[in-house]
Amino acid sequence: MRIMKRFEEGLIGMGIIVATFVLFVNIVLRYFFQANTTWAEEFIRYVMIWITFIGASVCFSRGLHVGIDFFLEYLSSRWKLLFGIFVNIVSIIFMIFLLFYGIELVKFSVNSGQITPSLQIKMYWIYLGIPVGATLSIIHLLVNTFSRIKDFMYQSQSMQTEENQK
Amino acid sequence: MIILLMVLIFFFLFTSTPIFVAMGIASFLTVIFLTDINPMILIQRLFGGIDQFALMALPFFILAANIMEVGGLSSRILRWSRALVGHITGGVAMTTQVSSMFFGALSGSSPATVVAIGKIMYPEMIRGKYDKWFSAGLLASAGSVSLIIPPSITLIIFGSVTGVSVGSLFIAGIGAGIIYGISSMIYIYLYARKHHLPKDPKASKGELWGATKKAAWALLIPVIILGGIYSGIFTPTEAGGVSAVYALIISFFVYKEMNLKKFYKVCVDSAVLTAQVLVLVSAAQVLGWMLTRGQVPQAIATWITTNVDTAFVFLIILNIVLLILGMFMEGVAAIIIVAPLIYPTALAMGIDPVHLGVIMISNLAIGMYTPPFGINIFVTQGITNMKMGEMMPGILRFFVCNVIALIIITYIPDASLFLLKIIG
Repeated sequence: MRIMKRFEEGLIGMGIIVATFVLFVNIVLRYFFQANTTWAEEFIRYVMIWITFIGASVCFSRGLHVGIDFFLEYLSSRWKLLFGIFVNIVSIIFMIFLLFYGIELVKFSVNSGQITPSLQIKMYWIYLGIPVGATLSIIHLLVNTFSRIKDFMYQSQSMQTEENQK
Repeated sequence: MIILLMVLIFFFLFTSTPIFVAMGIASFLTVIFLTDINPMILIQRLFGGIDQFALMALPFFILAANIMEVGGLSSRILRWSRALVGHITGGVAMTTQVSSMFFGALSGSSPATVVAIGKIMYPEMIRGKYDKWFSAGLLASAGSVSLIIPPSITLIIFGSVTGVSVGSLFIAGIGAGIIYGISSMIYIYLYARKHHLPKDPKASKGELWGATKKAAWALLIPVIILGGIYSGIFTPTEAGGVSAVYALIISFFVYKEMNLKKFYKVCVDSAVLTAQVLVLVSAAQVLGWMLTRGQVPQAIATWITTNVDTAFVFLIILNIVLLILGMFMEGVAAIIIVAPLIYPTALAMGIDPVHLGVIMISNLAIGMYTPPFGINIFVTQGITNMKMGEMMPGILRFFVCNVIALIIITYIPDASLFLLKIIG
């Protein structure tokens, strides 16, 4: 798990550095040397798309996705855990949709042989970010769900022992 | 179809599902069960929603803001603001408001502004005998101004959704942001005078000059951004990249508060934050596409043209709807869904497209700190350890001030557009 996290973070961290560098060099080239690169813009867009889908998975592992947890404040910790598990399952289902139809899109693009306008690379390399990101997200979500279920079991158990003691 | 979609979204939102998952899964379930559309199209929309160069301004401005925070640029802005306004009645609170405005001019992220300013200024305000509810309300509302002041992420998104020039939106945002900020400052002044709160001694010319000199490198950033975009040297997206590189050079070589280890962490955090916002953008695009397929824009347009006959009334309705929407929805998602719905109708009513953008963003700025779902409230809670209920008196008072500012922004177009007219 640690290695996977490191890898994801390294990938998107480097991604944003490289994108910034390309963007900056492109401005310098254009402004001082009148040399216009058309591929820079495309490159940056595709890097950001990969960052988005890999980063979404990091957000799951760090619990950063913006949600409305206002109503949860009023629930007991037991119910909070249950809701957390429910939300994880919903998220996993969504990610399975992304994975499944993402692969469909990749397959579709492989068959049609789409290439990008200025970089001239195969379009499926870019679409591939979606199923890859979804897979990573599912792994994080599963790990998180199991630890929550364990917490939940532990809590129920300790509640029972308390009752027994009474 | 639309009804099922809405029911599903609200159901998932209330169970605290992440917003982008709620929008996404509701769209998928609706398409799979109610239509014979291939769900692969939704993936294409998801992808197409973020495959736009204008949107790429967002990661670069996020990166720039994070570099400034870690590299010591924001703390210098804070000290400078204090030297500038600390001696006015309500000095500490004034400093909070003014530095939020300047910080907004650097970063464009509202919760980030609350954290950066709040961590330093909240303890100062408590020490200065400001009421806790007042300080918390101020923090939450002051941060929201960064939604309006350029470079604002929400303005960029409004521009990319509607095709309105981001440069013009930025210029108009300055005027609107100042009005918005002043409305809060008037209340701060009255409050501080009533409670006889202490103020700083007036900074001497030398002190002010010293603080200005230290902050000068940071204060140059808005000038570079706006000047560069407006003179056509670079696009808004490139401006983001330039300010990131600039901030990096300053923090490495001038302020010397940056090192490689910190820089790496900043990059990772920026990329994560980018993803957090962009997944929301892409899921909102999917939802927007669903609404268009369900003919919702047409329905709204017909309703407006049959029931509303003047721009005046239209703007009242727009403001009320947006204020309510802002309470429940995050700014970025709200813009993506609402802007395309009302843009054509608003134009037909004779409303200036730039003005419309500023009005929408001002509304959503207020929505950043209105309960139940204003993100700034949660961030402020994190800093102050207060319950939402305890903060309410403060939130409410600043809400009233900002709504007055909103009315001015809405009905005096020149208040925000005059700078554009000067520049031509």
